[in-house]
Amino acid sequence: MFYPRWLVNLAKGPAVLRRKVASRGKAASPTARLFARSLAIRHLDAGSCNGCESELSLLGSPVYDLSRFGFSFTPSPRHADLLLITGVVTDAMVPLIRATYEAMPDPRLVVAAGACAIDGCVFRGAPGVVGNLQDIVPVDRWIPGCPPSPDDLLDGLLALVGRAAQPRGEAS
Amino acid sequence: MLLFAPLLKGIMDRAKARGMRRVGPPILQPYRNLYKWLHKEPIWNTETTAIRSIAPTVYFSAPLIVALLIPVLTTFPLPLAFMADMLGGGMILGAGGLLLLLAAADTGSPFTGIAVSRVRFIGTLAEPLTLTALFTAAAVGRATIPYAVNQAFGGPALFTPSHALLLVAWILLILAEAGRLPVDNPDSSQELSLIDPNRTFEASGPDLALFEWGGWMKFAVLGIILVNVLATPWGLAPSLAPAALGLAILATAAKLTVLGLLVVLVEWSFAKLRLLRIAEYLTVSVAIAALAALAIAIS
Repeated sequence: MFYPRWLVNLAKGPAVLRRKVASRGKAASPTARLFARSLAIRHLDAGSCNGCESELSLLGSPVYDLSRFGFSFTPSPRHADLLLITGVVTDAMVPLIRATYEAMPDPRLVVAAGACAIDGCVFRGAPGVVGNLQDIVPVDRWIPGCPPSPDDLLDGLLALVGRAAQPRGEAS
Repeated sequence: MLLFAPLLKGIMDRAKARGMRRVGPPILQPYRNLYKWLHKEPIWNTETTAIRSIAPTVYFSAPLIVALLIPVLTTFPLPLAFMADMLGGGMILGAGGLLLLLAAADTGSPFTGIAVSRVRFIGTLAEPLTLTALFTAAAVGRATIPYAVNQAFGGPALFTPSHALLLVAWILLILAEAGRLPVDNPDSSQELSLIDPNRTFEASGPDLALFEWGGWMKFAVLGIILVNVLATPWGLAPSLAPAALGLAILATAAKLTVLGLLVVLVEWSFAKLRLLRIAEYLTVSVAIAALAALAIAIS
């Protein structure tokens, strides 16, 4: 399932870039509208296998280059608008996730990326694994995938700030 | 200058990204970031003192005050230009930088602490460079008022060895003071290796906007001293007529953009120096400035 998409992407370039991205945010919420064209992302690894991280690092590569949308990664939660959580959320990480969220200035968004961050994936129900991220911080968007491809990640972020990619010449 | 400084930053960011074969952020991105920061809440931790409430304002206004002292657009001095000479301007910029450092140290965060000690390390070594370069320029103009120096370099002092050496020294100073490669990488996100960007780690919302905007303006001020006082002292308005002022605005903006692209060219070509190698970089810069002073003494 994944592989045909890779081949198409190799031939035609990343899917998210083949579609038209709205230059302005059309989001209903004022928070999303504020971040439509300027979004600083703080990435928090809650215990990941590095699969999500290797896909995330591709977002800064010349092919995807998230900076063209005005998005950027930041090392400081004080500068961050969006908390991006990847990996299996364990009991030990709960206070740290909460602290990072508290350190971010309002308004702020939270995204859980990858199957592990969403429900624990194969680790669901294991000792020390927290079932639901929503109980710790309010999650605004879930980006599924194991790992989510850079396409999925960019699509999810753009949709979150109301700049969802509109399919061009193909059925959605 | 208030409005142009973010544009300069945007142009430089995009040019740099293009050099890395990336599309890069839109050149208006710094304005959007400012708008966003002004609409976020400021957070400071509970350990901070009153310094944090004045530091952003002072750091933001210091380059604006200095802009009144240097020939930004006009060949004749503005009414306030005689309030301070080049040393005074340097001290005003320095005061802004000092308050930013105090505010950074005030938060007690380990990362801002690293930044403060490193910035002071570089600052200590860059100080003799600044003074030597300023005094050399002053010796040419026989005055420490930037307008007089501007007149001198517009005349016979233009193509002298001392002038060329002075230009090189001032460009090296800008790279060090503005935290660009090879001294510091402004785009890095590795907390442990950062120098300048680490200072604002604990700032958020409107305070961050003032710090960042102030930093971009500081780069513009240093650049204006280079292009309008030292390197190309032409194209300034001789009167306050709108047409002359408009031409001067265009000329200065064009010159600053060329300078920005030059800095980007350096960033494409060089890797970051190890922290202790920065001392050697600045030693060479001081030596060049000293040679420029020597060349004046001989001639």
